[in-house]
Amino acid sequence: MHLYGTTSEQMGHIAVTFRTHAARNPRAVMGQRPMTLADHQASPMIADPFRLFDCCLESDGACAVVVTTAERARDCRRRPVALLASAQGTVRGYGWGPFATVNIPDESFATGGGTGVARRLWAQAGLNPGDVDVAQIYDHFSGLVILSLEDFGFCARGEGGPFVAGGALAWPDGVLPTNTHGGSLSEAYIHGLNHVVEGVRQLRGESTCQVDGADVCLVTSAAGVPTSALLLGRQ
Amino acid sequence: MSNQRWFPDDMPPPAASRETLGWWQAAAEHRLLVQRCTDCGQTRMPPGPLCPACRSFNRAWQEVSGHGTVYTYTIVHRAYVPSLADTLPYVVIVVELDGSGGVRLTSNLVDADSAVVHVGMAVEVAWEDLGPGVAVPRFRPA
Repeated sequence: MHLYGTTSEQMGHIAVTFRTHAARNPRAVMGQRPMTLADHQASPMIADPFRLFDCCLESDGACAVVVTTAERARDCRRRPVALLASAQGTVRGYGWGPFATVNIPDESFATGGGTGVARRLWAQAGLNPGDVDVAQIYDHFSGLVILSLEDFGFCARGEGGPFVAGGALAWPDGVLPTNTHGGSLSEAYIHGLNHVVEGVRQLRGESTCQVDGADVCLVTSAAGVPTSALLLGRQ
Repeated sequence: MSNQRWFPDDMPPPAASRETLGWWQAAAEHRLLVQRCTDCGQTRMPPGPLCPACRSFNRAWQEVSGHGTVYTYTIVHRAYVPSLADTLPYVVIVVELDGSGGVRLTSNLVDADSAVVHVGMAVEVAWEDLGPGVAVPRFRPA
């Protein structure tokens, strides 16, 4: 916000977009609780700049993912999804000290620390951000979604605020429909494993906000700490 | 020793470890330290056994002036310790310490309205004595 002028309203667009997706998802904890940008702006400040509706839910729940070889997956009853690439790690110096983020180098302070993971992920899959049809971005706090979008190359550094405020993440018309289940802000906070499950649903054609012809889904873990990401593909 | 207090008595007290004991002992004397690698010269906080730059175990303390600038901050509006309710909102700052080789320390801004905090704000250390032999550095506008 200090460097690029990102605003609370821009972060609010993320929360409202994900809530709108949740309204179509019968599993979503906040599915029956519509939210407007005015509601977001009126929600109490928790730790500036994060208001209540910038913070993820606290949820009890569970989900599971079965991972196996492509050969075995062919015999499964449900249509498998291909794991195109996966990477984990961080950029140099990002984790310095147990209070990880206070002494990271200046050049990576205002990032999510995911640029190294992103570079390896795209290289491993032979894909780039333009190949992604739908994304599930870890949303512990709205503002961290902006950092992940920048880290993974969907917009330039500092342009994430206008990118999300322009409707980029909205299903069905945005350039990158994101958190089509409602995310941790509005479906449930199952520590992001529900984002993997939603990625599988998209590539099976089973999402409640289905992206037509979705072939590639990016799933990311938390920005702000050493992180990881997956690229899933339709089989 | 000053008697100034900004936070309630039942805040969790600092717990010194073998690696941080020297830092807290200096703090009790109102001296602010950073740790420095004696091989490559890289400074670091919090104190730890290993240089993150060159992996050397050789280290020493370096005293700094207690002046610095606010690198980033948040203003907290929730009382995570119930007795903090009377202190809200309080300001958490990350201070880049002058003469430290760029080391940053997480602390609080005190003696100032929360609305005045900003990136680049000049601050100086203000010691809060919690009890015999225990002091915590806060910062006030310089």
